[in-house]
Amino acid sequence: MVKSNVITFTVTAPPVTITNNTITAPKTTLTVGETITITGTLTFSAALPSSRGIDIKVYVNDTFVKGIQITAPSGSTGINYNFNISFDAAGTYSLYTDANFM
Amino acid sequence: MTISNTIVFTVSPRYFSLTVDSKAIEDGRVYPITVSVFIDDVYAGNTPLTKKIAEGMHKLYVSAEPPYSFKYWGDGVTDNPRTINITSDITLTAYFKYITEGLAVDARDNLGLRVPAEIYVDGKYVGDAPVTVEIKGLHTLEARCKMPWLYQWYRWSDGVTANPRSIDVVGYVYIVAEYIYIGGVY
Repeated sequence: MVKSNVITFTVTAPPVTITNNTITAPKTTLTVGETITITGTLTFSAALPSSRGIDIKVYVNDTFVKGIQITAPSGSTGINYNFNISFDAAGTYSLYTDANFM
Repeated sequence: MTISNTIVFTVSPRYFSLTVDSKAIEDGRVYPITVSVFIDDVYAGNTPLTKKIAEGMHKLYVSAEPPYSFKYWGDGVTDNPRTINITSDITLTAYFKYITEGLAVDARDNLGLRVPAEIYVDGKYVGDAPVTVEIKGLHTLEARCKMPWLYQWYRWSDGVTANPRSIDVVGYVYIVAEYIYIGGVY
């Protein structure tokens, strides 16, 4: 019996990613200057092994208008965020966010 | 990079109250008169008038029947039409003077209906018909119809066909720019 050398493998979990980013607004018809709160929900691919910072960028008509930073705690599989928005001129505006782990 | 869904917002302007009143000045007396109010070149009604209008810049014009001549607004502005910036509720009073010496100009069509026309004296815009100006002596008078596709120039009510024309204002002169309606069925 002749044993070979031993190879040790270290298997790490795949990196957690943000799999879903959904935003909702209490209403979509506003008056100039009226402030509303947008609520967003992020879903992760797995529980976070440690707390992670998340950078959320807000775009209006494809133009960056504000950034938000939040921290998701260790073990979380998702997190909610919210921010306020108002418009200073009449018109139609499209709004979305882009979320990334920092 | 995880892009969210998109929310589309429709944002409407804020609206405020614009109140327009008018008064006449005659021999030291001040009394209310009724005049026509135009907001952004659209007839809005007669004074006293309150309208909800969108926040922002607007054109305001008041027009009195002869022999009342516009003098000033209660806030000191002497332009008519004037520009107003609506950022809150606002009340304006237009003051007119009862004219006994001057020129009153109206514009009518062959059916006797008023024609939208700008009136110029010595090349300067003095208002839309009807308008009364406190002048005397020899001047150049011109009427410019704002809807020439609907009205064809005919003559002045004193028979003069030239436009522009000369006019000698002695005392109180009332004259009408006469047009022929060519717009088809009324």
